[in-house]
Amino acid sequence: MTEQLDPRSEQITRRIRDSIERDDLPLSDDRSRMRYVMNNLVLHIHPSKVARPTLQFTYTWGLGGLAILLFTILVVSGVMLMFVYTPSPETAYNDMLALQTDVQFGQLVRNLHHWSGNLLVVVAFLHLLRVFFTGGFHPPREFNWVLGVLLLLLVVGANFTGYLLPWDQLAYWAVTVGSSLLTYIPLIGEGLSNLILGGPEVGAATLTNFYGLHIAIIPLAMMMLISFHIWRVRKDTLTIPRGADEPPADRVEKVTTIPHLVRIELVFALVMIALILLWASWVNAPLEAAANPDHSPNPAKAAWYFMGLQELLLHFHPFFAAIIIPGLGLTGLMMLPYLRFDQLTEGIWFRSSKGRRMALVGALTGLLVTPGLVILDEYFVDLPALLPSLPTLISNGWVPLAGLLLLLVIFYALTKRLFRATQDEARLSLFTLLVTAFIVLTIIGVAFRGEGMALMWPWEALA
Amino acid sequence: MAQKTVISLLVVTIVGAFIIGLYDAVRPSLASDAAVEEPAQVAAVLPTATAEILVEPLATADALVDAAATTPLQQSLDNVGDTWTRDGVITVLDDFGMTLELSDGSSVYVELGPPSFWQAQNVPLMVDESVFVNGFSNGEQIHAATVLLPDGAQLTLRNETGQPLWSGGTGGGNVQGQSEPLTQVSPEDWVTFSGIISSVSNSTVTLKTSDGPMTVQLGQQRFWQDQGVTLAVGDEISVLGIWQSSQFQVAEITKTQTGERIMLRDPNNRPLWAGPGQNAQGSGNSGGQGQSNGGQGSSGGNGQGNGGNGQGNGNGYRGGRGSN
Repeated sequence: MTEQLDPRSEQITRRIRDSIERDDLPLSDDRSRMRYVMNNLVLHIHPSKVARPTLQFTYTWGLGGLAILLFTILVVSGVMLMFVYTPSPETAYNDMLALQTDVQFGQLVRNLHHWSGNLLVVVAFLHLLRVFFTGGFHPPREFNWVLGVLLLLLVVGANFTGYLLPWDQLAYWAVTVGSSLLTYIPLIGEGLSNLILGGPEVGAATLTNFYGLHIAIIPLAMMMLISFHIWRVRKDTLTIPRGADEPPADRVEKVTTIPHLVRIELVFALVMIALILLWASWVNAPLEAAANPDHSPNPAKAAWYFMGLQELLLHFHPFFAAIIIPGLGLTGLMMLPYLRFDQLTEGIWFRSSKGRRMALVGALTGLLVTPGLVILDEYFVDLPALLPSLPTLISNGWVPLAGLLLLLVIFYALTKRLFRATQDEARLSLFTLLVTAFIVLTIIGVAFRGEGMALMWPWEALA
Repeated sequence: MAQKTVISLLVVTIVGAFIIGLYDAVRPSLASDAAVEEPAQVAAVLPTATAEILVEPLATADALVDAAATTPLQQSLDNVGDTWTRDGVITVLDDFGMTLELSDGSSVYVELGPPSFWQAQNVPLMVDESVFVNGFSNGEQIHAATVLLPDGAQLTLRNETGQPLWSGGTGGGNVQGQSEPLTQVSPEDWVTFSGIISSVSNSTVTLKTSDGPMTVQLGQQRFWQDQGVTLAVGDEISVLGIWQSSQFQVAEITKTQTGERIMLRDPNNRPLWAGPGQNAQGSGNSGGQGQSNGGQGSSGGNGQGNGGNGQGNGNGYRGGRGSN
């Protein structure tokens, strides 16, 4: 009886290689390239072919891909940090010191983790802005926008929970300030704060809670949501970029993902890794004195991405600054794609050339008016003193908010009329104003607030 | 329809706030106008009222401040001079006083007291602003007791006898005793607690700290509220103070979220809203034991008036009004 051998190669090395990688390399034609994308674990998040216009780097700026790269760096460096870190008030700070002095490349790994985490907050935010300004949330992508907003919140949550882990003064007080914002939520605020902190104030239980959230729960949730988000991008397809006032093309040329898209991604990823490594090699992550719950620094500031909210607390009643205004902002952000939009503006930066000018007007208005209002409230207008017969919840909460909302309504109506703009363009201008105002508030909080949270120049405040 | 409703609500809020603000602004200035027009009547009433207040110090401490703030001043201490009431325009403003241009074209310098005290009241004074000043003049210096702004806001600096509310103890008793300097509080005695406010009233705040609940006395309501810092349940605050027997006396409260501070006591643990009781006068022999007028007439209220060597054990805060 003759032996019937399987059809694999006669060489055992070849058989081993084939068991790992089934496709023949190098890829010689489009068909094999498309098949390779479909069969590859990593690459199959891409379609086998992509529209050529979407490869234009200045359309997406690679922000979504960069966010995934940063997330990967964070997971890898985070796992490495776990080998030396114990989440206990007695040991956490010493672990940080040991990491910087005793562990080979410990400082570099910590720097990488720290800076990547902060950069991820910025990149995720910029990604959201890019999607908004190019109309990437129009139907059928509404729900993916919501997923994106949730992911942004998780990114902030991951950063915030990681902020405490070094257990230094900066971490302790930033988390104390940040978590106290929760207590302003009516009815459940205090309970929620106690649940997250593991008690009424930041302590050992908070450290273990935050550690668990930081290394397990939030990353897992992020992994799931990122997968879902990318899957939805595949299903909903990318928007096709166009020039302002350029009519949509009837047919869009498609090219294979390999090499066109993968090449760009690879180069971009390598450049970014190099830049991040370079930055992390030269700039150390901050580490202040060990946490001292009995002595708060002056000023005690929240993490930088919460400084916009902390700045609001200086001007509004806490219930409005910490709950109503952020709640309105977040609800507005979530509901944004469910408003009705002009589908024809999809893929055009700022909707049209008029929209571009209106966005500029919105940005300039936010840039000039926000500091003006801060100075006005700081030095010239004291609403609770002007309205002593009203409770501060009204005089310092609802009244200024109503005033601001009225100003926004006037701005919307004025720009719409002056520019003879569409509803879409006027909304874009208003959104730009609000985003600019939030960024300006954050910058004021970070750089222009010093001792006693008094307004001062950055070189005095940061001295 | 919904858009119109929302916009109407916003407009009604702003217009309503404007009207209420206008009403609030007009109300105190009407009161002060009446006070200026009828000094004789008030002069006849005030001594009696003051005497009554002295009998019920805690309940009427605010009333005394109100009296100091809204009525012409009746009597003054030797060193601050006679009562002086004028309106004018601020031409120069510095940390300790302001130059006023009076209606007759002359200019005078009016002393306001320590900037830490008057600036903490969150009543911003500005150049070119018209103000109404109640105060004292001894021929050389003019000391403001109250400064009323056109918008109704008011700085309260001295009581009706001219005693500075930031220090007090300028006399007014029967027999002069020798003042003793207050004991310096050792730096080691100052402690800081942090916690979350679980309840807040006009005079106390209850904190949840890591060591359990803790109640903090805020002292004179008007004093800390005038500093423009709101305290609400859920606020994270840190308090700096010292233990006196079993009572924790707070010198400074800092809102962790905003960095805003409420100053209550000076580094000697002297209440900023009341006098230190130095120069308090015992009614008995100089140096002897006796009841004191503990630097009478501060807005402090209830505490120990252990000023001069008359050992005044009043029922006010230290430096507050002692009992006669």
